[in-house]
Amino acid sequence: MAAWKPWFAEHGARLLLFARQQSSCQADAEDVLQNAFLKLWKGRLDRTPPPLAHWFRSIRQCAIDFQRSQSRRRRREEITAAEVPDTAWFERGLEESERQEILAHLVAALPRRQQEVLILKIWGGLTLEEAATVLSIPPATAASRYRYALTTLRRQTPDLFFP
Amino acid sequence: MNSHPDPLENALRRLHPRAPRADFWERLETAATRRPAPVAARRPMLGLAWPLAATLLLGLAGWHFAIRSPQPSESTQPSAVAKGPGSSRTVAPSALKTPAPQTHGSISTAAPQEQTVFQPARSRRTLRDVRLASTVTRPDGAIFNRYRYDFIDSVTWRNKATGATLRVEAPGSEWILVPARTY
Repeated sequence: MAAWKPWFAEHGARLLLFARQQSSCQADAEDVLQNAFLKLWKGRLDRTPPPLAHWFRSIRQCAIDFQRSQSRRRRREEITAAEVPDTAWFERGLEESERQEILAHLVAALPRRQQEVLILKIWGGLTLEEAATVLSIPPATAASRYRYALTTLRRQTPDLFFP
Repeated sequence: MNSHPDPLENALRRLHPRAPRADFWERLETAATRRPAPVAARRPMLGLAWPLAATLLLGLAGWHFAIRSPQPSESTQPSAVAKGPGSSRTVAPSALKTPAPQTHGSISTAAPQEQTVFQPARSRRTLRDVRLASTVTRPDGAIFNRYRYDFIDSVTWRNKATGATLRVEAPGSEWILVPARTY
């Protein structure tokens, strides 16, 4: 466990971001990340943290399992709750500019399939090939989703990035 | 030299993911230490539970049939027991409409007549679900995907004389390690 703590301190934020993207709320994301942690912890016989790609794959699988188990409750909540994008995926620093805040909001509002590729590539530090492996999709599909995500963001922020 | 010339990608990279709460690591540590044993160590007990339940159900069903079967007269009971071969068949519940003499509730010392005997007629394993449970890494670095196979074992018992059948179903799980393909 001693080797995992500093590792988690370094990478915990990106793991939580991906778990958050795969979940419906922050509390669910923490539960999913905890389940993924326990699975990997039990599976690592040498007790060393696995590579990042394993974490992301495990988080995704745990999120699917979690959603299955919570599906009935989710359905009820989705009927009553409005679809409001959660903008608390990223840190809010004092120096954060209005442009960054808008960008964070737009990332949270992207289609899910584009979001997950974008998150794995930009903040997860994976290549598109690795992201494709995590998501069980062809690399070309991952690349096109990534392109679509950037295109969507550019289209929604023309004055911010193409002054 | 900027390796990310796209201003949009640069702007995205300047967004910092929200860090876990300060006490989140303590939560993980607690969860990791609270679990008494890995799944592999608990599996034998889990695997034993359903067969035991199925055996109990089978016994109860046999006892139920024995109670509901027509009671023989007092004079026939001793002879039935005396003639009984002491068969080692584990299950020999009386058939519902079998007038065979049998001591009340004595399933293991069933009547010798073949029509009172249920015999295994069919067994079947039906796969219900296969899913990737986790990834396991051995000390030598080999990576395996651990798949969970959920299935239902079904055993049908048949009384050849009366045509009565008794079917017992028991769900079960198996874990299989498959070498993972890495890129």
